[in-house]
Amino acid sequence: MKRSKRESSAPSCATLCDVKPGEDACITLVEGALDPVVRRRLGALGFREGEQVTCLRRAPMGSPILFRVCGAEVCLRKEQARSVRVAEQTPEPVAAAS
Amino acid sequence: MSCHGSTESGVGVLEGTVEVALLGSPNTGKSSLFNRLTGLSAATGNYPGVTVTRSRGTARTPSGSVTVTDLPGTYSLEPASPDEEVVLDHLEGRLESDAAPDALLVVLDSTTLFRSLGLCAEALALGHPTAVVLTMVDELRARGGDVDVTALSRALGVPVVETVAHRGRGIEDVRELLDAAASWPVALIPPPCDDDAQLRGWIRSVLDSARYRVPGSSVATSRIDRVLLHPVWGSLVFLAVMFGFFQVIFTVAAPIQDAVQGVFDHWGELAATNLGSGFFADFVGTALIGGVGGVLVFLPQIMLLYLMISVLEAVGYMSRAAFLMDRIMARSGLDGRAFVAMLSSTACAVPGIMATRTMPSSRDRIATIMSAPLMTCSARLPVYLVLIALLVPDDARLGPFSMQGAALFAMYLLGGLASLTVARVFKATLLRRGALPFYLEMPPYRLPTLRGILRAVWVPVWMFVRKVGTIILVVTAVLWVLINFPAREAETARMDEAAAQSYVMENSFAGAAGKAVEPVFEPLGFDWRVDIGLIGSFAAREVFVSTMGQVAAAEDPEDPGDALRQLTHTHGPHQGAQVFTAPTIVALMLFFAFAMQCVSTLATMRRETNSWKWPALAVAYMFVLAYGTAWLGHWITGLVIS
Ligand SMILES: Nc1nc2c(ncn2[C@@H]2O[C@H](COP(=O)(O)OP(=O)(O)O)[C@@H](O)[C@H]2O)c(=O)[nH]1
Ligand SMILES: [Mg+2]
Repeated sequence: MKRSKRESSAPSCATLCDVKPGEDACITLVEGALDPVVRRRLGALGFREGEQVTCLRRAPMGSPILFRVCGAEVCLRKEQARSVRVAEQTPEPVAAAS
Repeated sequence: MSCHGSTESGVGVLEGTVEVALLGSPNTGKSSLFNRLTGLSAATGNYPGVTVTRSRGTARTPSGSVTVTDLPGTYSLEPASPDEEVVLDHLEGRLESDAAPDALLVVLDSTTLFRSLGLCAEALALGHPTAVVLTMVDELRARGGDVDVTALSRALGVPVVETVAHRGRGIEDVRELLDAAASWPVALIPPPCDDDAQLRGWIRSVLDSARYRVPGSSVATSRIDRVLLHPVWGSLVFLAVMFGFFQVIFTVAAPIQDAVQGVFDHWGELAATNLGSGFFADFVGTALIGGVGGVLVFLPQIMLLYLMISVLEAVGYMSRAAFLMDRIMARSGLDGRAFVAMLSSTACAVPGIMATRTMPSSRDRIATIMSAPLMTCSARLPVYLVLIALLVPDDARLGPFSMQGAALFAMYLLGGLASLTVARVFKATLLRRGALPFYLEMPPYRLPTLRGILRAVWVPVWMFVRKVGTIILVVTAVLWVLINFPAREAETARMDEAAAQSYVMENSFAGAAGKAVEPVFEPLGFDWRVDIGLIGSFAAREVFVSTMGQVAAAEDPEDPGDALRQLTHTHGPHQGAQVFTAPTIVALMLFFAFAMQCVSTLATMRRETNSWKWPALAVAYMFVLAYGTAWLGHWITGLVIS
């Protein structure tokens, strides 16, 4: 969204955009400043707070980015990925559902 | 409960049957289920967003029948795009053509229940009698997942059955379920949909009690994607797929086409020997066999085109293409979804334009609608094939590839680049706006079913045959009359047959019309006979081919194949010179590439944008583009060959 957080942003405010292919992360916040329709749609696609996400790969030239969330593979452009805050996952495989 | 649209399944829609709506996310198997239940042919594909309109049909149940409606896929009941609005409007009975459903059949992809139960919750909250069908249970179990259907049913409070929709497994259970559609339960306590955290909690508890085990990612899919989505290999494969696509149209279809052509030539000879001469014989020989038959010989190519598109769609490659192309589409201000709409437009702009309904932004939609008709559609194919055959010798090779195939690929590339450029211009001027959310689901690769592919090919091919039998036949017949009358019997009494034919054509009504517009197209090198074809092609592009067929048959009834090449200007400064020179052929191809010559596309544009403004603008800009580039092409080709 903002120019300032371009490439390597501080881990405290990491977004989906910073998750590297092969890494997991947990969604902490879907930015509220977002258009409510976009916010809800991201939620319906599985990008909800508390959900676990894996980054699978990036398209040529870095965007879109393919994620695995809620058992489905969904891709988002960088711009949307930036509006989803995440906490990097420390290896702690206590997935609730299995 | 309205009653219309009889079905091919042999069971008419009965007055007073129960209306059931199929609700589900895109690509969950709703259309496959619908087709199995009703025997009708809704389009299916492994690309999110294939069903853009709703279809209705009757499903037989053990003790009667119910009416089922297949709705477009939706991720949520909060619409973000026009086709999702259709879903909500249908559920609330706001569409005048059909009544509100009496019951909801929620179709859920069992491999993504953590997500799709969100939609299920919204559906339950509507308070209709509801039941749930789980699809893809084969993939669920193959990937190590599992679900207890009985427990899920208990947790949701509504009946649940599991199916493998596209293979028809479990369909009988669905029929049994449908039997009692009117008495399906209504959720007693509506699930909490308004609060994200509560909804998540609800989903978790439901799936816990159903002992749901999340499937792992598909091993085959991630292996294939490692190559097909690789920045370098993936892009190379993509280009190879696109190039191969057009090579196949030439190299595989050519022998089949020759065989069909042979049959028509044989009929032409039969007609010539058995019907004698006279108007009827001429009508059969030139208008029916030379004209309409000349269009019908392209059936193999059109079939192949649809076959390849439906295979790409069914295996799941379309989404990958959209993924790879998104960055390039972004340059035109659009996104990967627009790429799929444009790729479908290579079959026909009408479904391409309809496919834009999955796009959330109305500005992106209109920009795509305005540029999609520039994609090379299957109606341009016969015209290009005829013209390329005149321009490029058929034994010319480009390395291992046929030069004709490469020329055709170039025409498709041109159409693609032109529509991207036009979209960009529209987005930068009339439809300016910032970036919009882009999301796209990547389904696992799936083996297409023979049934699904046959259906996807058969429906458009049948439509092509119908088009040939109706509009193209009528326009060709009208043109035949205009070309052959007035009869000029007195003037031609002492000429030989070929001279008489040319004389009649030159002095016919059509000849007068062609000559009237000749000055307009003179700079492009077209003569009045080409102009007749051009006028006819505004009804349907293929009419150009049938008209040239008639012209050729009139010029040289013995060898119509070669007659076009030999055609010479009858008067004016170029009298006696060949008409179909390289510059003229190039100009013609460019004209056909850019001109808006399709009534159905205009009608679809009007319907989808709800205004005459956009179709009118499309006609205008495309004509300017067509004339301008044709003129340039004529000039440049002239310079190059001289
Ligand atoms: N493995 C598997 N594939 C399915 C099943 N149902 C549908 N498919 C495939 O999934 C794709 C999407 O199906 P479709 O009926 O078009 O889904 P819709 O978008 O919900 O209408 C097609 O390629 C189908 O062949 C199923 O139960 N199992
Ligand atoms: Mg469908």
